[in-house]
Amino acid sequence: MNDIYSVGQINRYIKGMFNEDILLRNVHIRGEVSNCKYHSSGHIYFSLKDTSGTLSCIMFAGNRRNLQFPMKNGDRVICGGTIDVYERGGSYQLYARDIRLEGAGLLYERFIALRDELKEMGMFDKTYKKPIPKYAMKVGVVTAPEGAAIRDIQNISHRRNPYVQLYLYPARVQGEGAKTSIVRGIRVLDDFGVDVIIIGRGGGSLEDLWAFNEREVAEAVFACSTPVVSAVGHETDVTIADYVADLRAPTPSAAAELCIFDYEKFREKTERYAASLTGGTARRIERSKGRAEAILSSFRNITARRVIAARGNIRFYGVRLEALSPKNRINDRRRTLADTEIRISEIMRERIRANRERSRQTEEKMKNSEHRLLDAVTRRQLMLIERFKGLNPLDRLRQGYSYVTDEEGRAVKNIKSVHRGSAVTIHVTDGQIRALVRELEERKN
Amino acid sequence: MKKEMTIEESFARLDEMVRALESDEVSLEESFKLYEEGMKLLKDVNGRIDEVEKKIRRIEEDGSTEEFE
Repeated sequence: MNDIYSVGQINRYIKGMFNEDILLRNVHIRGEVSNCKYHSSGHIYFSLKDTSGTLSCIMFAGNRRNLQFPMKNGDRVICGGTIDVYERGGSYQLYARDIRLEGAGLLYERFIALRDELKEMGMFDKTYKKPIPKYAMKVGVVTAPEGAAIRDIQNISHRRNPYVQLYLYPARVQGEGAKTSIVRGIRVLDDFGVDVIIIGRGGGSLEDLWAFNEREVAEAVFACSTPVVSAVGHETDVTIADYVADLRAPTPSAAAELCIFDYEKFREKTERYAASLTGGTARRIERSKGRAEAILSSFRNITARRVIAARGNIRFYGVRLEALSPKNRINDRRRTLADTEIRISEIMRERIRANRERSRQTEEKMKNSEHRLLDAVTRRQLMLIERFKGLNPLDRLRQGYSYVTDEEGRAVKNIKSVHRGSAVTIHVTDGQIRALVRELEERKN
Repeated sequence: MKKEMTIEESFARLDEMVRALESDEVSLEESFKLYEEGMKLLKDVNGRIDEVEKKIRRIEEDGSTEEFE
């Protein structure tokens, strides 16, 4: 055993070896991201792996500007940096300076750069956006003649409005010459004269869609005097052409929906307008008619009222005039007279009736009181008869009394009733004595 | 000659007419004029659409077209 080294010495030695290696100082490594951790310090710890192994990586906060996408586990990336030894852990790792998405990575950076530049130039400004015509009759399409995009647009056009004329500029949409082809297509259709131009293609990788991220295409879209609708790839794919176009459609089908108006709805709309015009005019006429009728009817009413009033007046004055005619005045008087007569007789009848009634009542009353009186008299008589029983004057005669009557049979009550020589009859109990008055002698008191 | 209205502009004009007809702004005589004008405009708009089913046409560099497919 010659030399014995400390751990630190060995690690330092190895570190020195790594550092002397030019390749390891600046290396690009392709791999899939795993164990990705964003530390609060701003450093990113992660691993790169492939089928054969794993490499620990760190990106210091100071290099974060060189990571322009939200890196996550599973991303396939290319990391540029230095392989160095971490002495404390006795391990080596990649100190990442920049990280790009594999393949797309570089293109993506170009995309970002161009996007920012064109935005800076104002090519995406809303003020430059042309409105998409609602009723385009001629629709230009720049896309691949054998692609899915033109089929989708064709189908939708057929369904919504088969009367819209589609013009296809058969363009190369990917690979060599694609951008030139697209630019040509835009210019040809713009010169030809269509209402709107759709540029696009179906889905694909970023590389496949790349032509739509080219500056030349962006400039052609911007310069086009016909409104341009971009429809590239799927909804999540956004290209430079999308930013600069007057309208971005998420897919070619959507672009067709936006550019080709629905014929049925159009028909309905025109029919609605026809109905509104007819109905509106009819209602307008009705309103006028209604007003005219109202005026007419109020005029009629006024006239009618006046006529009625006039008739009333005529009747009134007629009646008055007739009433004042001599004949009528006489009649009137007669009538009054007759009325008076009738009234008088009525009054008389009434009075007679009332008198009769009164006398009837009096009679009744008298009858009543007569009865009462009679009753009383009768009772008294009977009483007296009882009392005067035994007082019969004839009884008195038996006691020596007599009474005298004159020739006429009248009772002689005083000397004046007879004169000398008068024949008188003296009544006694058992008969009469006829006698002659011899002398009259008045008693002297 | 007056520039021909687009279908959209025609519809906008029709909107105005219908609104005017529904209000009392216009006289009876004007309303007849509006009706006539509106119906003419509608006929015009309908006439814009050539009701013949269209095949896609392929446009060439020189601007010439031929039936696609």
